Amino acid sequence: MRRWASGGLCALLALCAAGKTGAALGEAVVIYGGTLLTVTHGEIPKGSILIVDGKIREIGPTVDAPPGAEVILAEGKFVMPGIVDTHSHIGVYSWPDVEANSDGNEMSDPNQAGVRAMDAVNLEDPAIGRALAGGVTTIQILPGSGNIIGGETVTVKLRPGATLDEMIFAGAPRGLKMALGENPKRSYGSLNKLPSTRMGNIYVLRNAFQQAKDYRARWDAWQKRPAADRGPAPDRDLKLETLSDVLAGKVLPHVHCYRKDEMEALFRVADEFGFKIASLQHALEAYKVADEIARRRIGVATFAHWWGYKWEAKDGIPANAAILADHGARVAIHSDSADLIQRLYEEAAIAMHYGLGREEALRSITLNPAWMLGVDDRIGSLDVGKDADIAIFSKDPFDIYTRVEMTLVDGKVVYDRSRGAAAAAGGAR
Amino acid sequence: MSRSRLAIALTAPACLLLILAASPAPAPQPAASPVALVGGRVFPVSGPPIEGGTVLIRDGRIEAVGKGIPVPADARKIDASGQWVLPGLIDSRTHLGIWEVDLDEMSRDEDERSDPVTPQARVIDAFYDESENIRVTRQTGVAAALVAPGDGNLINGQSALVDLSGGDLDRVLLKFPVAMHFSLGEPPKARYAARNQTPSTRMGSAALIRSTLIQAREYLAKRDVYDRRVLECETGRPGRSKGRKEERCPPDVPARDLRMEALLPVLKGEVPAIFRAQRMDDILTAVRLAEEFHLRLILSHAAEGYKVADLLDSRKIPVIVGPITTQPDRIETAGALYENAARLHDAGVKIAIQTGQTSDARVLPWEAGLAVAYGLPWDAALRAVTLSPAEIFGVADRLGSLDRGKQANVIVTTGDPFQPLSHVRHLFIRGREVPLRCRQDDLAEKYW
Repeated sequence: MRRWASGGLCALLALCAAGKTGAALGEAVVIYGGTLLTVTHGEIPKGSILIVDGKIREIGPTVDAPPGAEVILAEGKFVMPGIVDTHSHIGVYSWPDVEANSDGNEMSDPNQAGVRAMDAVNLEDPAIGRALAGGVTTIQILPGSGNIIGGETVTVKLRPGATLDEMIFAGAPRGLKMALGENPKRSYGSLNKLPSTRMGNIYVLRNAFQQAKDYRARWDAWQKRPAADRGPAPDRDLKLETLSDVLAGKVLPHVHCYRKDEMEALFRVADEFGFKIASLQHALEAYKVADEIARRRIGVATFAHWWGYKWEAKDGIPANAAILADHGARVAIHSDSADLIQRLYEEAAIAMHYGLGREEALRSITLNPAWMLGVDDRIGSLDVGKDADIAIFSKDPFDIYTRVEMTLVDGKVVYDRSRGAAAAAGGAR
Repeated sequence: MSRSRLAIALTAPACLLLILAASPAPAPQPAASPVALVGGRVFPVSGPPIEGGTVLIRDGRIEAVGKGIPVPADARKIDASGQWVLPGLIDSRTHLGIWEVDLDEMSRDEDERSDPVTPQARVIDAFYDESENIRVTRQTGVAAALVAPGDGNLINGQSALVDLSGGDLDRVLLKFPVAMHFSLGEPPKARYAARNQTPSTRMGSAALIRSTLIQAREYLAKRDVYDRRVLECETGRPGRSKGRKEERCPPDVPARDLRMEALLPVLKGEVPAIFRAQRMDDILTAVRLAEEFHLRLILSHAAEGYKVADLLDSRKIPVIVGPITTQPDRIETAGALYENAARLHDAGVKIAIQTGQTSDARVLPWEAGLAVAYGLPWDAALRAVTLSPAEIFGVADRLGSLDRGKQANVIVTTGDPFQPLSHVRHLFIRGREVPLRCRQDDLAEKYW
């Protein structure tokens, strides 16, 4: 795409209102003249966005751009918030798909609350470039689903070339991956170990939280005693520490599940131990308990159309997202795949094919997943004050012939199709 | 079930099973009434689009296509104005009917894992015509599909082309065998290396295919000698050196080998060889093997096909590309590009598009759309899911375009079939309207 400094272009672009440019401004970028899909306040035809220091400063039919601002011409293009994916294994299962790159499932105990995805993210995963070429700016990287409690997730912004510390979404809540159904019971059942049934799955979960509750009680008792009387502190246990943080509401549970009965069993456990579930992941049968999910204000991140690949996916239907949305639940279309992550906008369009409304479809890949990750105050819509994470499309994002032309994270161009993007995008061009 | 058998079953329900079991062959279906699809934007594929055209269907075939065609009095008239009328789509490689649930071995029959060489495996012997996957797939306008064996062996078996109207295999079978399937690259070598068997390398793969084909050639030669001897004996013109064992009349009958026999039509060029190959060197190995044994080569997958597009064009080797979404997620697909289909087409190669799917083959039109987004001309994409596969599979006399005399596989859509926001409104297979509803709709209705 064409980018210019606006110095000599003010008159031409008619967007540099005099008088307002004197304010102390840092790095300024203007996205000019595109159709803006704001998510929260409709679509603005021929609108512009002023970005200053990585944040959206102004948005509207016109903006007051300071001299020297970099201008990105987006006439005829479609501009939307950067896509957010609640379910990615980029880095923990990096390409190529070989055993040496398989770091998502610590398969030695079904409770792995002590492990963290952040300790295994391969930043050289070529899938990162492809995700950026798909307009994705924020992802949650999760451990796999071989364990009942798979470990801590990490929410990152896709900043190519940065260290992981620089990529971690500052201020995002911690997350915990949990998994029910066939995957954990197959992993351990095939070894003749617990869990080999759904009963065993839930027992492992309850037992883990019971231990965490006891652990918390031990620490509480120790802290309540007068300092002189305390005696040695209880031993620290990394697994139980994470789980007691879940009980304290400091870590958001994201639970892989498929069948309706698994969801109901999960709700029983959450009620028994008093924790809140942030999102159900995959949740192909969530439409069967849509009202209950909406009542509990639990997010559902699902596929648009994948189904039938295992028994628990046999009742998966592509209207899942549409039914949930109609029942008042917050729904996201997720990828769980370094393939789908490149075309989440197309996946959302397929969800529309099966009944999801356009506004909901747009939310399902932006604001709703941001909400599930606890960062909807920062990203997920084109609103003043939010991070300038933006995707610019050649056509309407739900048109099958569209392509992402440019992706920005915090106002910086991280993908530009016109600039020999093939290298950055691992060949996606 | 045919209407006549249904009538009997309704009058005497208890006899149903007996009657079905006793039926020697499917009763001929009563002729459907003619159908006229009027006023749509018609895409014959074999010719330019016709605005406000009519497609007339009679006796399962297309009777007429054009503008201002009179609608017969006995025809069911469907107003297609504002809609698009196209040939039913063809998915050039699926595992529909032979592979139900990925993670349930008992529901999978696509890959005979006992031996790297299984040319005798025939998909028609494992085709489950009641598969819900078929009903799901046809919802997006897919009217026919190649049902191919899996690619875990070097020689995988024989594929069939079926329509997706549902029902007995003998009704839905369009062609068998369509091709003998071969597989190069990672899948066979991964499987057999884990067992310390050949092939555990690409060298081993090529060597085992070569030795198998040489064996089949020798088998063919022996068969020819035997046939000649039978003829000589019958015509009373015995060979020169009388009395030797091989000269007896009638000659000893050689033992038959179904594995070898399956390869004979391939060696004779009667049945094409579809080679799965991703990496450029695997593609070149397929070309080399095809040349050595004079095989009618069709390439499948071909993630790096664009690297040898000119070579494939010069040898007129068609390519069943895809899926378009093939990723550089494996070592052998490190060069995968969304633009592969477009680049092959630009070089002049005839392409067809495959999903390689079973439960989710409904994505075929969106795969085609993605190829268009990455450079394939729209007309070429439509051809790659209609007429080109019909030509590649040798059924273009019956399928693939809206032309007089062809089988009436026709879809009526609300718009561009490659757009997710379009919907299929009518699907005709062999001139009969096929229901577009599937169990997923029942579930949605129940819980919406």
